[in-house]
Amino acid sequence: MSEIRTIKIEALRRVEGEGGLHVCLQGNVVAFVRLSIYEPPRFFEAFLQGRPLAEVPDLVARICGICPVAYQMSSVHALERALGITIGPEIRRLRRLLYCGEWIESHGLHIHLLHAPDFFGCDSGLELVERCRDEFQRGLRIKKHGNELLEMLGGRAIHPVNVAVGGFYRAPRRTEMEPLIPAFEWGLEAAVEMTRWVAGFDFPDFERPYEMVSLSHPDEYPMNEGRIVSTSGLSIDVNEYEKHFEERQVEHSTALHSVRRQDGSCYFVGPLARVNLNFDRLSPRARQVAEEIGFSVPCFNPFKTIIARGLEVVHAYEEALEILRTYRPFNPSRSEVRLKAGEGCAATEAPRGLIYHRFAVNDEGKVTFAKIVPPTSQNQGQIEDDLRVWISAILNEKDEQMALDCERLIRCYDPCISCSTHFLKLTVERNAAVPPPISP
Amino acid sequence: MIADQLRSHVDLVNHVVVRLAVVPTDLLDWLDGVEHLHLCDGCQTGAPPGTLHRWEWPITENDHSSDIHGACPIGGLGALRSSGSHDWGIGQTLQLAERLGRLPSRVTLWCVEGRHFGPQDSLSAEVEAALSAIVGEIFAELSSRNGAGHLAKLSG
Repeated sequence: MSEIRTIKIEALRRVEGEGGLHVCLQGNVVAFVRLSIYEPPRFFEAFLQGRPLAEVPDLVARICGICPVAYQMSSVHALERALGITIGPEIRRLRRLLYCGEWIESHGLHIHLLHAPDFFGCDSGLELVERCRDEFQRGLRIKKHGNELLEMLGGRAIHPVNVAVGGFYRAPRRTEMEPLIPAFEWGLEAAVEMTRWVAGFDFPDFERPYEMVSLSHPDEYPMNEGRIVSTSGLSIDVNEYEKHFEERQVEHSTALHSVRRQDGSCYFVGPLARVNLNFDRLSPRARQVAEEIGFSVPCFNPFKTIIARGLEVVHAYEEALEILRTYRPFNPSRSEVRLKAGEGCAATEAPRGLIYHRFAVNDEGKVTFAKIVPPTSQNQGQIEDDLRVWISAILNEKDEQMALDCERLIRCYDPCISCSTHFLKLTVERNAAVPPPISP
Repeated sequence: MIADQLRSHVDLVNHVVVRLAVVPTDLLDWLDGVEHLHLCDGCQTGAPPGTLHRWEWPITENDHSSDIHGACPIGGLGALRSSGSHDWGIGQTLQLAERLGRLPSRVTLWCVEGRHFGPQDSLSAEVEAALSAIVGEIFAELSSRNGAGHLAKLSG
């Protein structure tokens, strides 16, 4: 009879939210890997029904405190499609500026407080700060810039209130934009230094033939618009998302898992997918840094997602500076909204990856249907699949070390478990023939 | 809710700024120039829901003197464990600020004993009933002190 090994991670550390991981080993074979999300379903899709569409951006922003802009942008674009609203170029640029703020804040936080400690063998950021004090100070200042931009343009950093269907409730004044310019000029150079720093980390040799998925736009690095593309050659309009991808309920998790509809396979979204699929549309400085540090695409090592995040912070600063410097106030701040029954969908690029929304509204402007697919739930299946392969390579480790290494891999995805609910209790059972039943 | 109520009061008090943090690490954005940081958040020590604790950083395990109800988190404030949905709790964030040399010279924690801490749980009736008294107690201290104060309310 093969040995039974049980490794449990009670709560996955340094991720947003709570989850658990249950691994069963039969001798040297990984019998199953189950990533379980314990947070109760959030029921947003249900309680949005019946609400006035004008309330949707404010409501969906509360799905996640770290990435409210992603939910707001996806929702307003989907509702605008439903109503046949076209936004002007000024609104389009401001929405990209807002997203730059969120990328800077989210990536800055993840890189320094959550992910970098793994590369130094530190148990937490508190240990790392003793060794990398200057880098930490720089990282916190970068994070602060993101919040300042969100506050200026969104009305506040927490659950921005200025996003509206059709545009913004108020367009900012130039006097509100200009004070950010010197800070962002510093930030661009700091982001370059930060990316050079993370590029020097020691990365595990772990690559897989991922199906990477992201938006792609012919003229710009994707944020709010584009077709959905993949590394296997998929290129579809966002309207076709549900023909190619579907959510499935898994017994061990309150979060739905997304798969490719054609064969039930998993796929990979996030910064590494975006960089792989849109490298030539990164800003000039970001591409220059990539060349300098020797980063090229295709790159299929999930541990190097931290480099992709660094490049995206460089890009976000550079694009934000261009918009801040050239901004001219405009009026009206939003397109006219005429109520009519309709249905529309949209996809944007949250810090953690592709996010998809579909809404239906009636002629009174009330939501009759809502579908929200966050990036973390799209990565759930891929994370489990990665762990099956990863664990196979580290079978000889002691349980405690295996648990730590599993957490390290999961953190590459920067899972926002709070978003994906529709911590990591890692149970590794090294067992006999029949896997145990799933515990409640 | 406490932050909103305090905002309506602190206009009458000089040098006090009220902010709402969605995650504890947001505090790190606001520490420059602050002489006295007041933090307000929920907690669970076993006291009745609605109980207000007041602790001074870096209170240690055996020092109960500054807590108005005699309770203290085991292991001191540095051991405060977050029950929110984000990894970095108040204790860790304050320790980080301390190690970076950015912690204000005085930090006071106002922690309200709660009943429900699960994701999506709403405010308990006991806490809701105690809100006015809690706001009053915090405001009384803020208005009795001189100098620049900064109050941060954690939404988690």
